[in-house]
Amino acid sequence: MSLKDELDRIRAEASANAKTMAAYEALVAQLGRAQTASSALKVGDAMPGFMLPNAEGRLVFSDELLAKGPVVVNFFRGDWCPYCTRTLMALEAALPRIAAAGGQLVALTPDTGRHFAATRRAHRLSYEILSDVDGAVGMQFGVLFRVPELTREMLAGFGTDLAERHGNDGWFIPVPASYVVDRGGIIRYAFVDVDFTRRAEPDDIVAVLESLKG
Amino acid sequence: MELFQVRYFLSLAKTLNFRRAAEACNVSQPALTRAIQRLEEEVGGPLLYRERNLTQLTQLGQALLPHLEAAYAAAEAAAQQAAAFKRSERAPLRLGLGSTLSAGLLVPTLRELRERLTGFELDLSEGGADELFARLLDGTLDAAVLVEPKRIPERLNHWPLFKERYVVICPPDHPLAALDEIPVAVLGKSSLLARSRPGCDIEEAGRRLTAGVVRIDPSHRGRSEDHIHQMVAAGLGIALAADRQLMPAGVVARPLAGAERRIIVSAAAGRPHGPGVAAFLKLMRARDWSVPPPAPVPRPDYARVWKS
Repeated sequence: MSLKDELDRIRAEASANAKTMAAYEALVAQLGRAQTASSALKVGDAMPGFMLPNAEGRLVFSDELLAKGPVVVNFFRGDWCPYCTRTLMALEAALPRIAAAGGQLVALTPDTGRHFAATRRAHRLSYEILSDVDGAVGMQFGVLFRVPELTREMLAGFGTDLAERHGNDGWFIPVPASYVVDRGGIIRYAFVDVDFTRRAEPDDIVAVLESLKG
Repeated sequence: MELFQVRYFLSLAKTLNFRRAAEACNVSQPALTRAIQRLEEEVGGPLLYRERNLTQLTQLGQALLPHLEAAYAAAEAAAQQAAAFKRSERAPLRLGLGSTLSAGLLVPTLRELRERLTGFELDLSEGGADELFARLLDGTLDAAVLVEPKRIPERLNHWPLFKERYVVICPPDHPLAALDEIPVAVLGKSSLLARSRPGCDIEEAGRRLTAGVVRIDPSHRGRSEDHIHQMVAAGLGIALAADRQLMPAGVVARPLAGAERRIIVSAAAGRPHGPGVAAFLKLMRARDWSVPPPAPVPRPDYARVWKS
């Protein structure tokens, strides 16, 4: 089953809740109007360098990753989002193939503290989860947006407090995005969709990495 | 949301004038206007009132300004800081620590900075909240880790790190040591050792939490946390302390019911951070404080080390 099929199943279940669906549709429409996806970095752009903490309290540098090979950068919103966790797990399943193709995988979230470390533990992820504190890297990639009121209300209903998770009350999160960056730091594949139920297929990521090996 | 849109907005928030903001950003006025409109679409509402003679931030604009400033500064500095780590230039961190906090809290973060930042230089000092805030404001401290006080000056950024419980410390053979948790009422028959340091958060919490129930013992007084802990070990009395303080042998800690404090990290707002300070703040905020730090390495057997 492809990741898309699994995400479609989650969406079908979620569509039973009218309020959730209304918040979903309003969010996607707002981001579409704002052309959020078109403002994000694209194929051919250079990846901005970064230095971010991982779940063990160590610093991870983008240039050290690139020195070892191409890098897959995956932006996710947090493990409060079922589409994100499903995607993180699909990427874990694809990790042997990503590694075999010479790629390294990192996933960035605006979550801080115990939240992002817990994501890694809870879903037994063996790749790096990095805390993009204050969305500094997300903003450079152009994938950050502000959570609209309707979505906030819905999240509050689920007991999800992004201010507490982020350690700031700006309520900025990324649109889900996946990038493959070659060793020269140039973006060779970009998947950005304002519809957060749509994600890059791990198979596509692996195929891009394979083509870079050539 | 793009970096340039935020830059235009920040310029506009400063000048409150579309023409001057466009000049400052070196773009045409229509380009600036379009960028602001797109940013407004993205944040879900107008950021500015546009009236003939008056441009003003809306409530949303005002609310978002500090966050957009912070995110913009972080984004601008991020690449630069990543590069600075690779050069061996000086990276000082003048760090203040609240007087009732153990420097043990900092160990994993400091170790990582030492390993990764060639020019890392630490100047660590301690103080009460008022003193640390004054030094952050006058620029003689870069960052401080302290117990959240009632008031924090507006020009300081602050981020919560973790909460910890207040504890009662006593010798292991003390009757209170038999309890898992100590209700304030049970403390009624005891008196607590007094800290003679003014403005001490534990002393203030002790007075507040146990008012009318517990006596502060005036016959024994200690100034530092180490003094108080060792006085308890010596059997001079029991005292209030905090969960993550490192206790000497001969002292047990039992949580005081319903009493906790919050630990924050603070830095001056609107001041650019060097790589040492930026990395310190990121590491502290990203750290999983629910996991206790690794236990200290056991003391070596000196008799054997000397013989060999």
